[in-house]
Amino acid sequence: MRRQCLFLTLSSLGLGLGACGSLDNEPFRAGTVRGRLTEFDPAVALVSVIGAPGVRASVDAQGRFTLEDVPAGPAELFVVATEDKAARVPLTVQGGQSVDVPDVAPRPAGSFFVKLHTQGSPRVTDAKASVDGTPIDATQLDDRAPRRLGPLPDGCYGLSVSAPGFISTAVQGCVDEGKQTALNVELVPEEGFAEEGCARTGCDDDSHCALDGHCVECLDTIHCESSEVCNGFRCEETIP
Amino acid sequence: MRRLLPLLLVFLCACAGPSATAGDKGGLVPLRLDAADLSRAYTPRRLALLVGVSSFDDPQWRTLRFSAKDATDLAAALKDPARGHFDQVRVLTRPEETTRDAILAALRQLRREATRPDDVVMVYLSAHGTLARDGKGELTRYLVTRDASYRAIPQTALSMDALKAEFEQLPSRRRLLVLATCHSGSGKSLLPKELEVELAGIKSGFYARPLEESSRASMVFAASDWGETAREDEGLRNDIYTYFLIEGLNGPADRNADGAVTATEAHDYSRRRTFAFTEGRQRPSAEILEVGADPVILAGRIDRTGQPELFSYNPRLDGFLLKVDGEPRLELPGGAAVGPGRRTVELTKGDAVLVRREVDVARGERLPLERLLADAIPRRALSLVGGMMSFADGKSRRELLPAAPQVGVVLRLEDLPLQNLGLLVDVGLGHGRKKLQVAPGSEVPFGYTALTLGAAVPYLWRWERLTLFAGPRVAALYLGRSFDVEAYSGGQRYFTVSPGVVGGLAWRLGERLELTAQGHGMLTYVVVDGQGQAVGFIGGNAGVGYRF
Repeated sequence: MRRQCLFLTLSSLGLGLGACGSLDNEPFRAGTVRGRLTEFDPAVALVSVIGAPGVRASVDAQGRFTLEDVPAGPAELFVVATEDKAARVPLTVQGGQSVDVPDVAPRPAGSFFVKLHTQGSPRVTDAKASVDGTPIDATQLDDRAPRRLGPLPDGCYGLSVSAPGFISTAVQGCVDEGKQTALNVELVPEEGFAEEGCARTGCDDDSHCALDGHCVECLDTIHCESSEVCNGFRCEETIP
Repeated sequence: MRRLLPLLLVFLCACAGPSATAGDKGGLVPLRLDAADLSRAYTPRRLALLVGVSSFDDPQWRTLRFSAKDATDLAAALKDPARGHFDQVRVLTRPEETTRDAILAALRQLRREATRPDDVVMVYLSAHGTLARDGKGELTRYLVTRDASYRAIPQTALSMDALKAEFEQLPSRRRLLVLATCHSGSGKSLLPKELEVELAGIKSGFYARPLEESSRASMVFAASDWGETAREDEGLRNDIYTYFLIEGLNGPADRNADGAVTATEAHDYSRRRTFAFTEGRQRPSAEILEVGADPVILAGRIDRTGQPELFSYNPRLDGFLLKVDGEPRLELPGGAAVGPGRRTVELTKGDAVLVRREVDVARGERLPLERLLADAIPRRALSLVGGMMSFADGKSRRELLPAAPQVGVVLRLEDLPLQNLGLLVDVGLGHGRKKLQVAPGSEVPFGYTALTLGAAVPYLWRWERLTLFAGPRVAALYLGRSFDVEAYSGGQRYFTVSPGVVGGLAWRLGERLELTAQGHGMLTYVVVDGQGQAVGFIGGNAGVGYRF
């Protein structure tokens, strides 16, 4: 009896392992979204999905767009129609199927006005900024000239900024229709970057890089006003 | 062996003549053997050990008035050549004979004396019984021996387990243990106060099965049921059960009138008389697995073919009334003798009739009533059922197949492949349309076909109308899905065999119809998107069955 029970148990396990066929859900993990923009500039019009900026499509001459391989489930379209108009469209993507969204009427867009600052005197060059989850980004940013990032439909976004020698930073900001929102982003130098000296990081416009790697007011009298002389890396009034 | 006896005698007689001259080595040696002596040597012996513990060293134990007398009175009946005709009856009643060690020694002595399987051995104990926690903390029954200490019961009293172990080692296959003792906290039982408090909180579940269980070769009778009180009676001047047991040995217990009083006849007689005498307060119990020809004859000799007997000691039938030809005869357990011929046998409880059968019984026949029951209630059932099947985890329900209805057929064959086991075969089919949810809010419509084929060998617990079953199950699952969506159009098929368990019940509505319900849990191996995983698969169904 015991042997029979053992045999039965082992047979069951053996048979259990011997399954055949397979079930495939892969085709149903993404779907297609179709729609049309009522107003658009073919040169800049772009449709993507928030959170999946790699899924994007342009529009045809009639403003129609088709987004494929959109992850199934709740999603939100990020629509850039013209330089200053955009929209966000929430929807649910049905796996393996197409979803037709009603005609999308873009609204006046807002934008971020990004100013970069640093802790200390190092210069920021060649920085990159991107609005999280969207295709909106900018390169070659520095701490001299603020840059506009947009157009952005009304809403709140995360902004990620990175620059060589600085710790990547993320900030949050919200934009309103047709308005520009200033975002002051302070970048923190990476450990050791500042210590490498101004020969690598540079100095701001009012200072000069000394041989010891520090930014100083002057190295020579020519760096001072005409009535001043450079004395001990500082510009001083000449005493008659 | 009895058949070989004449041959053996002829052989020995043939060898009895001289075959060699004096002084020769080897050859046959003549022996003078008396045929009567030889026959006696091959006759089974009848041995009894009767113990009556009346007085105790520890004054906490109340002196029993009649325990010693119970033993000596029963001994007289057993020794009487006209009644018990036992070859040896040992009575232990004196203080030095009723200590724990003395009783165990006497049992071991009995083991050395009763060496043949067909020897009849009876062990009788009349004493206080009690309960105490043993060394493992388990509640254990003890026989209060003379030297038992009220405050150190496990260390000083004789545990029923030890007693039973000694009894089970007797080589005899015709052995009988009678316990004229109890353990309920009154009468012949005394319990420590703290144990009484503990027992007061324990309901009948604790008392469900008495210790007086028996092996196939043994019969164990008790003077009271588990939780009741065995009583001595001033008027009868004996333990009540013992009094009627002895009375039964005088002849009245011979219900089938074959000239002998068997152990079950004596117990049934004493049980009924005790129950009546105590007006239902004491209900002697018995546990008997040995059925058919009763091998333990306590008094008299079978000198004629007995009346047909109908009997049952099966707990399933406890409390049922046996009617023969419409006449109430007996409340089970027990047995009744009937006239030979065709009889209408009924088992009833109140107005409900469990079984009514016409049976032909002949002289000398002993018919177990459960056999009648087994014949009366078909042991095969085919049920039409409906229910649900589902994967156990939410992810599989969303991504493989949501819970789905199923219809099916279940075939149950009872007592296959062994007694009290069943063979359960079920086929279920589910077909329809559902929606997959591979992502929140995303619904993918599809058609499905699920086919299950299961086989199980559950253990069966059967009562009057209710049958419970539970056991291992193996099931094959075929799952087909068909899609017709933009990205995919076509079918997917999967087949697997899974181990699991099944449990359920059947409630008999009548002789043929029953309601049945069962549930199962399986461990299923599935491959999804190329990755294998083990998931639970459960199902349940209910329906109506037809017994045939």
